[in-house]
Amino acid sequence: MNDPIFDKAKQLQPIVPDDALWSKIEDDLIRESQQKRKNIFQMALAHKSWLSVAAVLIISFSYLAIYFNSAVNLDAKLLSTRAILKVELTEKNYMEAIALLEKRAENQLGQIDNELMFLYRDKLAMIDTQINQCREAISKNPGNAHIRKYMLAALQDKKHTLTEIINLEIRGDS
Amino acid sequence: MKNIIISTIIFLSAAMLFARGNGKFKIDPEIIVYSDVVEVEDGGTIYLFDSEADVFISTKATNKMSVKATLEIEELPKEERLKFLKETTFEIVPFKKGKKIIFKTPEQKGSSGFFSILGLKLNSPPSLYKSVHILLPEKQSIKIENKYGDVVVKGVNGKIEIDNSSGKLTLKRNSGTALLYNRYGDTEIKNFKGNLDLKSTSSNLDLTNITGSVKIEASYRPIRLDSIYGTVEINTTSSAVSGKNISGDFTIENAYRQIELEDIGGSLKIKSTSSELKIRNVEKDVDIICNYQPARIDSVGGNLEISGSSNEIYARRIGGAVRVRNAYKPVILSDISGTIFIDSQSSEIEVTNSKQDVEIVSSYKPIWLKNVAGNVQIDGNSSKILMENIDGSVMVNNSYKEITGINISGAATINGTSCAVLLTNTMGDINIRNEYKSIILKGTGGSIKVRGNSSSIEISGVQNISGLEKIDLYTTYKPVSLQLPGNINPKIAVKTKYGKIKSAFPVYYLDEDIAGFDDNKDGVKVNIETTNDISITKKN
Amino acid sequence: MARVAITQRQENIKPYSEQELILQCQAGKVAAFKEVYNLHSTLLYSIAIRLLGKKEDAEDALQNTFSKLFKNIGQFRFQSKFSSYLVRILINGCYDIIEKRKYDFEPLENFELGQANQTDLKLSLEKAIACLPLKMRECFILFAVEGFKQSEIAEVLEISEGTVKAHIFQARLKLREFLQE
Repeated sequence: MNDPIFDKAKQLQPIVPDDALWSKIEDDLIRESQQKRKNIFQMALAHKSWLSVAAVLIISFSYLAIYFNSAVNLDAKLLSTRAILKVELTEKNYMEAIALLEKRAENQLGQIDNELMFLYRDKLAMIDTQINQCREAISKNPGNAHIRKYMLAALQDKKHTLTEIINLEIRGDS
Repeated sequence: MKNIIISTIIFLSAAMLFARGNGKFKIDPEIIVYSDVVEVEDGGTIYLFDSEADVFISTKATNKMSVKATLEIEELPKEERLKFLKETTFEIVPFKKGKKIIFKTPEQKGSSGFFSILGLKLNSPPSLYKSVHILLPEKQSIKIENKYGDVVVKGVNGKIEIDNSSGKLTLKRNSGTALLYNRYGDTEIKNFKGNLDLKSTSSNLDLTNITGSVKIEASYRPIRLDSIYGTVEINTTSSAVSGKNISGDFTIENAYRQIELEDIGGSLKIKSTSSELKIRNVEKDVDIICNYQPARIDSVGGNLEISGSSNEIYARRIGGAVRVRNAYKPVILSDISGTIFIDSQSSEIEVTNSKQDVEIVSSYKPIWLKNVAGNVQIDGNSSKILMENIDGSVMVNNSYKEITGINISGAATINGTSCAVLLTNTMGDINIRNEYKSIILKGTGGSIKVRGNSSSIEISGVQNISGLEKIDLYTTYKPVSLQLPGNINPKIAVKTKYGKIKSAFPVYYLDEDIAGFDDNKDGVKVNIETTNDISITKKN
Repeated sequence: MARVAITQRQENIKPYSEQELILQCQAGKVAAFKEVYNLHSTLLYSIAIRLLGKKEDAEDALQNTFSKLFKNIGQFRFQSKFSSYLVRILINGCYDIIEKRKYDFEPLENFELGQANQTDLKLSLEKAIACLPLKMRECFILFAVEGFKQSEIAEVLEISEGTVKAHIFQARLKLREFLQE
């Protein structure tokens, strides 16, 4: 359909909602979620026999939560297994954040000038190399605090770099 | 009853899980120390490769090298432990012109397979940590290749070659030459005597008190230099650079990050894609190529040359000449001892306190000059021009926007297209060509020549005029008004086609032949021609 | 004796696919809804504001959409495109708003655009689209502005593909007429 109206329609820009909208929606969802839980609780009360099971589970999870949330001392030379678990959880959180940021950063990289784009691509590639090397070293020496520290630093660096890309002002917009 | 049974089963399961875990979750590491002492000759080299350890090197007055290697390893079953230790090597062997330290643990394999896929690391290798402490005679060279460990070197006098990765590199009180490559770890060098060649990837660099030349190739992390007694050459992808007290020449290639330098004893060259610049106190020349970001330069002993585009440029207290190429953003200069040349399109230009000539090529944006001891030449286009206190002559080409001059000691030559011209206190000869807009001269001290087209001419405050000077005014359609001092005896020739002539002095009427005016007679010669009114008044 | 670690290894962690994201939503994780919002809010909001013409209404529509999504995501069976599923919820919500406020559209003067740099021509197209009858407008926006296939539009609006085609054709004629005026 080569109609100029369709061509013009395609060029209409997407309209972005205000940033504050998500927080309103989030409040709604949290309310809904609490309502759901309330319902579950009411159901549970109706079936008292499961309450004791729930109590045991809560105690177990609380133990796990305390276990994981205690501070990790990266100055130690070798990490305890508990510290390793904590560090790996932190790494996992970084990886998740990075995965989300990567999509947005990729869009932004398509819009900035080539020189800057190559600069950031090189930097990200360099950080990825470091992450991969650390990961390999960790697989051979999982409790070494030094390697873990540098792995976290590289992940932090990647997250920071992606955020920096997303926040870049696109030159020539004005 | 049923509930109690279910609860008990779950509780016991959880308890078993933790109980099983706690037996293994706790690490009780074993520390094994190896050591050896060997004799070394002055000027030899100590090698340490693939160490994956924290390495500490220091010196003492002796001809022996002592090495202490520490292996910290997590608790292992007896057989595994024995096997591991049996396969661990520690020895010092002769190598090239020196000694090689070998400290190797068995090659370890990463966990893999079914349990790893499930997230359970059932066959993971033992965790370990290594360190090597080396105490050696001062006059030794060292060559180290290390990763996943920090390297500290103190007091060595020789060639220091270090290739390190994922660890901090620290050099203190060393001398000789250093070839360093550090990746993903900070680098700190203090009190080094000799030349430094430093390559880094993603390392913060911190150099203090270096007596020798410094060459740096770096990527993204900040570089900080303090007290470098030699030349500095930096090539960086995108590191912020800050430096102070650099005695030699300084060269930087950089992109995007800020450069902040202070107290440079030599010259400074910066080539940058888009770095914000803050420069203070450079004794010799400064040469800058940079775009987009502001450049602030304060106090340069030599010449300053800036080639930019879309930079805001602020420069003051420059001992030599200043040359600026720029566009779109303001150029603001003050206290310049040398000549100034500015070629900047669409840039607001402001120059104050210049001791020599100023030449400007610009368009569209205002040009303001104040206190210029030399001559001024402006090639403008639609630029509003204001010149104040110019000791030399002024030559201006411009169009459409007004030209204002106040206190010009030399001559003023103005070639305007549709520019209103207002000159106040111009002591040299005035020569103006203009169209359509008025020409007003207040206070003149030399000959005046005006060629106007539809420009009114208004002249007052003519002073210090003698028989050697001449006033020659020509325009069309607009009136001419001239005020002359009462104590002179001018010879005035006038011509108008449609206007009236009103004069406080006697005049010659030259209806047809203006050439009939007698140039050889004594007195100030005045020649006025227009198609409108002519008014000549006397100032008492 | 070997070490036991119960966390997942790094290399197994990948960014969420759409399916994983929906599963996370079905597990009731608000963070997953936020990701859905990040991915789809611009599309949904663009459609809503072009259909309803008022910022507050468009925001209400989006809020309702996510509220309904939260309640009903458990019923999503991966048989249609997730974006189409979201648009269907949105458009049903828009109908509710239109029905509730008893007006079709308050177009021209109050039309609010998120971006200020569109050309006059595009602005007049925006205004012209705003003047289309509701069904025609829906079909045109989804097809010509947002790039949906006609079959997808039919599914979203629960009408036949032929009707979609007819609406788009009529919309085109009317727009041409408006723009010539």
